[in-house]
Amino acid sequence: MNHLPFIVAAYGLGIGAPGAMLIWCIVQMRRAERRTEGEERQ
Amino acid sequence: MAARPTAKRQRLILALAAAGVLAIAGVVATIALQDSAAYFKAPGDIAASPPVIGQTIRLGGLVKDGSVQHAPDGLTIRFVVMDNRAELPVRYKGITPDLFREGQGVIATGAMTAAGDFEAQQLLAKHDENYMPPEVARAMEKGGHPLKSAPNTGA
Amino acid sequence: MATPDLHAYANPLRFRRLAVAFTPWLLLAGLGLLGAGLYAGLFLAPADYLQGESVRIMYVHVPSAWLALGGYLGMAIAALSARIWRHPLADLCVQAIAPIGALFAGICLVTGSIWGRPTWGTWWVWDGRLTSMLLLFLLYLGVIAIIHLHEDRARGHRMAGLLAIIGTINLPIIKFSVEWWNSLHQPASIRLSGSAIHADMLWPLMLAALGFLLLFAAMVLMRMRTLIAGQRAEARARRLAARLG
Repeated sequence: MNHLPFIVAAYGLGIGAPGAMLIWCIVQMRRAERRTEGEERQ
Repeated sequence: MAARPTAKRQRLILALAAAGVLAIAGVVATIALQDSAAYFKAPGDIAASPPVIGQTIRLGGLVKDGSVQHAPDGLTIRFVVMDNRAELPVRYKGITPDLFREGQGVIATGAMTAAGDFEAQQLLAKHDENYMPPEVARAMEKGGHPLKSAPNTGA
Repeated sequence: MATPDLHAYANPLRFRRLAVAFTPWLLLAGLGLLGAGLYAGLFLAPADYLQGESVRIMYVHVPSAWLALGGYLGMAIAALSARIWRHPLADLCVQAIAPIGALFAGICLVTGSIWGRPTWGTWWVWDGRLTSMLLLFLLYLGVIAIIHLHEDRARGHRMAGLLAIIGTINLPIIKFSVEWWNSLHQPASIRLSGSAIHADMLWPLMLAALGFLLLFAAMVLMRMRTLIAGQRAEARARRLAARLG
């Protein structure tokens, strides 16, 4: 059995999924902090 | 303010008591599960309490060195599964997993036959917890340290 | 009037300042170590004597498993301290960890399945280890669901925290499932008594694990900042409403 597709799939998930989660975390954080900062400046 | 530390302590005691009860519940549950949670039976278990002929069970153990025989049809193989207590001949027709080899762990799903051997419908390879490069494995084998460790039989 | 507000915010604000200072460094170090670890796992580490190349899946699978377990323990401790000490950040910490832990539990399950096919010959079996690991993933999802289920935020946190605490029973079950019961999954390779993983494979694993850990911590800090900001916005809206009302 050729192991390469299995390895590619596992590394794709292991890099892609945390990468997507990281971007989501950054976007959510920016949005939330910008909103509070904006409100508090009013 | 004076009442707060006691309330805090009460909560702490309550939480610790809850944790204790949960721990005990966990231990009881795992002991109760001990038997039914086993994924396979070792040859020794089967020798000690033979299962009903034809009843589907899982057999797990080591493939005995030198026991694998290929039938002329090219699909059927016979081998012996062993643990430190007993041995059991197995017959299997089909494609074996890559890691199926002598001296390594195997889990066979199938049933005992009237002839006293085990007819497997499915084979899974079970490997142990050792990871090493091939040259290290060869060196160890040459040095007289066999890599075949007994599989985890849960005993 | 101003005293209760100050009391409630002093802690989250100090925490936020620390988080702001630490996040970029954690992120940078985490990504660097993870990159080095995964590169070493793919290209520098040797193939296994028995499994061949598929052993490289270990460098993703094993750190994910460790983080899923460790993250759950952290979440449960946060839930417990929320109940005992009423720390203002503890409930937020539970909420911050849950989705990250769930992510790594999911990665552990899927990469394990991908690894199982070429080695064991199957994608999945219902043995003690795989089943208890699936339960861990479901516990994470349960905690997330309960937090968002309740209209009353405090009540949701209380119920979710309770589930998180009860679920810790599952942690020793996962750890010892491969010793208590016959299982397809092999016993632990790394124990207090030493490692059954060759040194050439161990250092990339540790590098990748450390990288994933720092990334995990950075993401939890970011989520904490998100939740703290949300809490402040809510409190502000409440104050405004009270003033207008």
